[in-house]
Amino acid sequence: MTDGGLVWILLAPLIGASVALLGKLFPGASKVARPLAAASLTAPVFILISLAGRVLRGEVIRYSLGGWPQPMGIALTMDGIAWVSAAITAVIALAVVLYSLGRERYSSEFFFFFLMMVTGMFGVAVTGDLFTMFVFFEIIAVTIYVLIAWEGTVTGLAASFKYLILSSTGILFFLLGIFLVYRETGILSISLLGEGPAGTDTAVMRLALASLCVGIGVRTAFIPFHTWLPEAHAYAPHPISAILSGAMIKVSFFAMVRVIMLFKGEYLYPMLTWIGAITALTAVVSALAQTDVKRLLAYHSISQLGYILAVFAAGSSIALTASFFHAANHALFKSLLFLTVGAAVRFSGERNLYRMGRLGREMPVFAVAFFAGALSISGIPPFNGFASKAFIVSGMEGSIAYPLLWITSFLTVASFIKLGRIYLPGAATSEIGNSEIQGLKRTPGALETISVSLLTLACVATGVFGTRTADFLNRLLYGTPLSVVPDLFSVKALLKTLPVAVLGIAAYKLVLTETGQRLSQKVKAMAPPLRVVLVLFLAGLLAFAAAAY
Amino acid sequence: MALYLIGAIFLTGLWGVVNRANMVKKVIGLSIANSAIILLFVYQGSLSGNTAPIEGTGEVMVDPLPQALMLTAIVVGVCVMALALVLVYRLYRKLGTLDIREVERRSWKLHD
Amino acid sequence: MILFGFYLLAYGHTSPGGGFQGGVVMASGVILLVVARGAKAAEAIFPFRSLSTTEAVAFLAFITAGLSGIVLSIGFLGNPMARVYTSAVPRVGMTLILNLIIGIEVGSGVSLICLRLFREE
Repeated sequence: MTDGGLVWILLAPLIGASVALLGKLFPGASKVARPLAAASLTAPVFILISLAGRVLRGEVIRYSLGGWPQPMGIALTMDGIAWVSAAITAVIALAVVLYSLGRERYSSEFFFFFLMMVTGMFGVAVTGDLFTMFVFFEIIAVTIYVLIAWEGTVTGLAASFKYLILSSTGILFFLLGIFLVYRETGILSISLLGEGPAGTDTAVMRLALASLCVGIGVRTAFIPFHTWLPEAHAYAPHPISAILSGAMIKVSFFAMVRVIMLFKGEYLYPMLTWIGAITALTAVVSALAQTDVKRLLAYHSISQLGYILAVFAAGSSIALTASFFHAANHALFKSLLFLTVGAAVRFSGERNLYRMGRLGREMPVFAVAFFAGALSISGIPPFNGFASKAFIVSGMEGSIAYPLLWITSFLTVASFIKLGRIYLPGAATSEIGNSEIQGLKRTPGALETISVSLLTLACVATGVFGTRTADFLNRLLYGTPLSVVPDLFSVKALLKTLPVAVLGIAAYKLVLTETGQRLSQKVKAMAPPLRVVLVLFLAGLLAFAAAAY
Repeated sequence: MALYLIGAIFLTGLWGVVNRANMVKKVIGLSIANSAIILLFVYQGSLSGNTAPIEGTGEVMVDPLPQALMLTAIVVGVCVMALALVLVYRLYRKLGTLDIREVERRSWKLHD
Repeated sequence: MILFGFYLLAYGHTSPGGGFQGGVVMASGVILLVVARGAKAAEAIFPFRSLSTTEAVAFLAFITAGLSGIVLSIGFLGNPMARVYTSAVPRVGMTLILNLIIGIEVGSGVSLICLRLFREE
């Protein structure tokens, strides 16, 4: 069956999870089981490569579970969006699972949940109908609640609980959206909806789209739904933070893109651009005020997602390409950052960046990798952040929201100058390096190093070959080669990064006299923000649905 | 009429989630809201027929699709509730409180 | 123990019910035992380890059943019974098998959760 390859993207991690489960059942076998389970993640990479050619030609690959005809079967589809979504998941999951096999000695059960989560992510990427999307979203959700709380710390448990409450409430709205769609059209299959019923512009359909977006919006974490993210990403185990920031929020975002495009939701774009820009700015301000390294990174995830959302909703001819390009790059450099910073936390036993000391000499490879990631996110050439930010600039040509993003850029630089101190070369304190936590050495091992190096190389490659990557994405998404090509390596373009860098350094100096820290210290109680959050967004989208008449 | 009732149940559940500081009550609120949505689907499905979706009874069946969908939704809901309660339980064991504000205060202190 | 009689009722592919419901009813039998007599008594009959193993095995069995569809090249979750018999009744056999597996999975899973929670008293 030629189209059977598609289902193996889902089956591979599922079988991997089963292997991990066997490792739990037979503790003796767990040494072998875990790497085997992890190896299952190589399969999706190969499948995606083999399917790429057909998707590039504009073909939409379909597959139905059990051979049941539509609309009864569970359908999977593979088109441009699905390909990018699945590809990001595949690469990041592979890098992260490699890292997890290293010194920390996670148990077989950890890998079981991890692989189930990856199955869920692939599922959301390739699903062909709305209800299956719900099911896969919940698979991701349940495994993530477990994984965030894995280490059993109070902060982890609390973060997981908050995420659970917020996310489950959100998914109820998603179900509400499905209900409205089903009531109006009687079908839930994405391909059948695309053929006609989805385009109908009634109040009910707009409400349905609003509900669906609210549901997915919680997972994607833009304002006003982002409150769960800083803690969840900061207090999860390091590999989990990496894959959450790197892949999960992207997959949710791509699902939202698909839903909006399916229901012809262009009227939402202006509002979404502003939400994106405001998210980017407020999150980076919060990030700048943090002293806990992982929370700083988590706020940056929200901020970068603001970029991704803003340019997607700008609606220009390369909007999708710029958005997805930045999403892919962010996946690469953010997971790189979480993994390297996680290694630093593990090494020093501290989370506060002022107390961590300068670890550059202890872990030289990781220091280089960290700076690669930091330069990428700051948009410095030749790393990939620079390339995608250039595309964002041209994608947002003429948009009034753009200045907010520009301010965000140099504030990003500032916060990474602040964070950079942990990996500067300093006095070598080799006693820490040779000591152990719970019998496991503190320095990162070979597997972690390989994982991190691969990600670094990827960041450089997609940066240097930025135009080619963007062209590839453009073909996947639009079916045509790249038409608008921003100058990436001309002198003029390179000069443009200078003011950003300079302002960044200035902002950093300013920020050293910290009163902004007080801001983040304010406890955000659960109840009021939740109420404000949900009501605001609902009201906003409803108002939009009505106003667009 | 039934729709208003379902709406009321849903809002009650949401209210519980948002406005109660006790973590267990939040979870219960979530469960109530979940049930409301499920009821919504089943109700809508029931409008189109007369009897339960079992083959061979000879009468007009109600739409079986929502029921199948909702079975899945119920399973998912049960899983999430179970997990939520486990989290609440472990937090209680560690901190001795069920109040989310207290939990937040203490976990803030552990931050930096 | 009479409670266990109930689970047989809830078990059906031709009547309202099915794997999940049957499993939950079985689990509630176990739970009732825990509530009435305490975790120790329940564990005497349903040892933790074997429940845990049963649950894991059931998960694997489900995946295998699904994969069997692939082996016979009708795709994941396809119905292998359809190939073997031609009359209508055995065709629902696949559903029956899946229901059975799910029931065991759910029953042991839910019982496990409750036993775990009660144990830590």
